[in-house]
Amino acid sequence: MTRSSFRKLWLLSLVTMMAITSYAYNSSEELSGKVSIAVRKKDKLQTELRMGNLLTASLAALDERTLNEKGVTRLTLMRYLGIEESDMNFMPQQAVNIKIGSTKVTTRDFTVRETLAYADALKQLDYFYNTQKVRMNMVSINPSKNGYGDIVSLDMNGVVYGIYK
Amino acid sequence: MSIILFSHSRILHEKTDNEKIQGIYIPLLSRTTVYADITNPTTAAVKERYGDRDDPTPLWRKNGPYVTAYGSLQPEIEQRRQALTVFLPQDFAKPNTDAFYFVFDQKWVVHGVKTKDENGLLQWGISLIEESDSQVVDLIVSSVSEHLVEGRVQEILVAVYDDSSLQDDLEKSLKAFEIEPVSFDTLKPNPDVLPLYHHRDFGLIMIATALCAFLVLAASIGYWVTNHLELEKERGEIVRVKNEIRLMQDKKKLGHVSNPDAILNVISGGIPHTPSAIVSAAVEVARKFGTVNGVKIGEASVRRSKRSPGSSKNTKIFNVQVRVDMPDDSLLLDQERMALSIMQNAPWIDYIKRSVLAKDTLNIGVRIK
Repeated sequence: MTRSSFRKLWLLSLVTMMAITSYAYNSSEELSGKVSIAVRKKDKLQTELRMGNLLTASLAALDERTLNEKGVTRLTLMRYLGIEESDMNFMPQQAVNIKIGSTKVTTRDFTVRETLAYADALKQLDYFYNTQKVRMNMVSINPSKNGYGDIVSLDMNGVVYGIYK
Repeated sequence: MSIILFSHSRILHEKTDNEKIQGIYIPLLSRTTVYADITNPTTAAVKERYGDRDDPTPLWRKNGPYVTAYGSLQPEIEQRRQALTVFLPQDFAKPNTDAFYFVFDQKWVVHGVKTKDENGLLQWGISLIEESDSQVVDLIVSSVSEHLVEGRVQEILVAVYDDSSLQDDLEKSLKAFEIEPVSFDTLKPNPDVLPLYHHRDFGLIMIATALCAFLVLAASIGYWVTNHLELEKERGEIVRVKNEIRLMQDKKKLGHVSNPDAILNVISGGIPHTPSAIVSAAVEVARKFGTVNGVKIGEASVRRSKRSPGSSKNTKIFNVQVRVDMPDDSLLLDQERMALSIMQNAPWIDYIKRSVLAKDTLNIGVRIK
């Protein structure tokens, strides 16, 4: 290969490589910018997902702890509390609509009255507490007038909440 | 030493490898031109005077105020990639040499004789003789004899390029004349003269530059590939998260509720702990005062504990009202002592108070975390 042809080849190679390098570098900088944008977008979506998951968890908990207001009857109320087969004196009151934030919530005060053994009374109270479906406002345990031994009269006032689902 | 022996029209002898080349140009008197009016001579300026722009590069040298052009460099020699330096044959003669014989390729004899011109200046007359192998020795011997007989030449230099056997033959033949032929490789150009032409070999530098450019190119491409892969990965992640969000929204219950935590806080009010534990804790304490006749707990009695530094700020006090049939002969002082003793042994009891409204009712504060 002659001197001038070698020089031409060298120049051509150099210019080609520099052109490709320049193009590749500029493209890389563009891509780098796009990567930054994509990372920010991904972070935003992940935050949205995290918040959404928290919200979903809260909504799931709310779903468990509230009654579906569509077609509520005394029986559905008792089924909701799990006492449809119990012989306790269950006295719900009229539903009252309230607003918590922007959500319409129905509240129903109720009273439970029962005569049973002291230990069973405590179990019954714990049952209502553990369902997490009622807000227990007042509990009263008194010796039963008609009973004997450890038979007591249990009175409980509580509230059941409902939402249209 | 790599050598190219050439004249204005052709290459006479060549022995080159990858190292730098020593060019030896045999000038022709008819092609030698002297210029007195080129004040700042450059190759381009001499080329314009000596020939056309399209002609090959001239071989020239500045001699005092004059510029002497000896001929042109053939393009095929100029295009050699190795470093090239061109001298005249007389440039290899020692300062005191009067005549020289350089033998190349066992047939080319370059003969130079130093003479004085009409102005008294010393100049060299160069001739090129082509002889067959067997005639070279005889030619040189006879020529040397003539010079010595004429007596005008004192110092004669004989050099042979790359042929030790010919050199030995010449040594034997010229022994009588006390001339010892030397190898042409041992001769160096006169340091006081500039070459007729010179170019360097930048091949290594050019290759190194190209290599650096290639490395930079590879790095740029690597950078591009890395960014591209990173972008694809992030885009994939975005699609995945969007799908998860979509799935989550599809499964979401009560989607119309925007504040579930607020509603759950309201529902979670009321009695803050398992009722049996609260009742049992209060009743156990009340029993010590008398027969328990009733227990009542309600949400209005929750407050923070102020009892001792050990309580955390998450401790609540739940008031339990217990009706107790206390003996009539029980002194208030004894009841107080009993209450203090109970509280020392039952750290979950915050206070024991007699109700102001009903004397048979104790208000017992039960600590709840």
